[in-house]
Amino acid sequence: MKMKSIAVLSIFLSILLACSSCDTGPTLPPTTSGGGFFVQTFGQDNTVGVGVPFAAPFIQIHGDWVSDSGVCPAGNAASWTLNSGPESTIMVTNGRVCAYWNLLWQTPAPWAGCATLPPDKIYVPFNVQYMDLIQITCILQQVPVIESATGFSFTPTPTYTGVTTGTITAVGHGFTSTYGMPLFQYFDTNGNLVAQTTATSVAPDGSSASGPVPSNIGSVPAGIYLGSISNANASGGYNLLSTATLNVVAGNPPPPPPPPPPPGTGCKPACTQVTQPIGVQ
Amino acid sequence: MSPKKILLLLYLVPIAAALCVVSVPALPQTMPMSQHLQGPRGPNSNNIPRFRAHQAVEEKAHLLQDNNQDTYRALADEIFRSPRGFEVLAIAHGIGPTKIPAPIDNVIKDRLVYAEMQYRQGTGKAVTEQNIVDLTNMLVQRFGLPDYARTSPSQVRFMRMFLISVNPSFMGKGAVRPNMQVGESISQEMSPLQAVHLLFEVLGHKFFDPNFQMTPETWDIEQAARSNQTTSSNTKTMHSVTASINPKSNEIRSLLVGHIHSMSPVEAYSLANQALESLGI
Repeated sequence: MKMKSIAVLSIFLSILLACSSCDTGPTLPPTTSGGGFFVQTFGQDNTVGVGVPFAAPFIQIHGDWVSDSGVCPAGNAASWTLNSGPESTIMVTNGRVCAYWNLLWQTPAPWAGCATLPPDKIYVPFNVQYMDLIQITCILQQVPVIESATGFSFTPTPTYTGVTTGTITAVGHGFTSTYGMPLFQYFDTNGNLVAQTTATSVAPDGSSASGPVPSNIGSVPAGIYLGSISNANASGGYNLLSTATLNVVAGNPPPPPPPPPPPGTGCKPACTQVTQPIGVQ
Repeated sequence: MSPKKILLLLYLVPIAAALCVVSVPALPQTMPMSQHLQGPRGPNSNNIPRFRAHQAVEEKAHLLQDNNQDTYRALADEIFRSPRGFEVLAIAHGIGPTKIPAPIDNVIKDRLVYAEMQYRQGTGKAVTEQNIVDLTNMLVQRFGLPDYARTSPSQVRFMRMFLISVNPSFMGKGAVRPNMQVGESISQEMSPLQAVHLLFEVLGHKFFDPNFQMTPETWDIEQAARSNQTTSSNTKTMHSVTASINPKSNEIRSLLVGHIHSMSPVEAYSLANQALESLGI
């Protein structure tokens, strides 16, 4: 009997000890009425300056209540996972207001990296029910190659105003020289044509077309330009194929980094040979 | 305590931990996919999938067939359906391009389809950027919206260039001409469906985009400042997610809902008719 009691006590104490380190998360406040807010999902491409945000549909967002703030909290603090659907808008039914929430972007769109990021914390203030509208935006900041949403890109990128010779290559698909070489046109953000060239070569598989660097590139302001690529047609005109953005930077490109030393050569020739033992006068 | 009992306790601790109810993050309903996804037209050069705003509109534009009214109607439907950032008006208040009563919706779209087909055949009227400016500002005045909701030719042109960059096949048609001279601007004219697509985009950004919710005068100053910013040539991909609340969206929402809900169906239809006529449709 004594053995049995000790065993039961041991089990009880073990559970107590083990559970003492369990993280059960914040204790949710009791649910009341009066909550409710909306969440809208957006994407934004900042790879070529401050991009234009656009509504991003079918994005899954997970919300975790963090804490209440102030004397006005109302609604339900339970976690939720909802999809913004075709309208890019989530309705969080009776979602807790006057509260901080962590919002986690879970869908790998518009860019895969969006789904790898930690949640963003936002305060949802008190308001008339469902008047709070949270905008959550996934922003693409930088990429090595500026490839537009159309799948076309220009290289080199950026292009430098100091580089007035060489070629610019449009990469994509559908380029053809059947009726003549494609036409490159470059527009500023106000829609003004700043340069125009004719391609000098087209890849046999239509995946790229190259043309000369515009001769006036040295005189255009640095900034973002929209390049259009048009294929020649049988009627002697052109059919617009696609567009891509081009980043023009003032000056010249930075010098390339020096090549690494061959393996096994240690630090030669950069080592400084010590000719006198340290400390010897 | 005997060694036997100590051993028993040691075995019990992990069992007890397993029995402990631990709060774990809810698993997302869709697991994050690999970062190396295929873009809309296949893998790109750096395996970063690129999202295209209004992709379905572009796809429907690709499917247009001369003299096939259904293809034009499908494009019109997609333009009305495509998310713009003001969908909370539809969800919360039943206001928006997707909430037009079916009989009125059919009349509007029939007019648009007819006008578009006429335009493409060379017999219909074009819509100008100024028409869109005038209609937007008429709506701002009609609904008593704040001054920052007004627009201008430069704002409309900016948004049109954005749409040309993301929907080149649809929005680039007619705007980009091969016989342009350097220094010339793209045509101010566009087709009726291009105009509606652009109008909705302008209205959407006036509703949600803090970078666009400026008076035309302020916006011009801000744009000039942005164009002077040097663009970085970092080669590391970076993403960020930001959540925010835009008080201007709530302000516009309150005003719009109040005015529109007080309109009779006759007044609403009259306004829609007036809008189409102002665009020459």
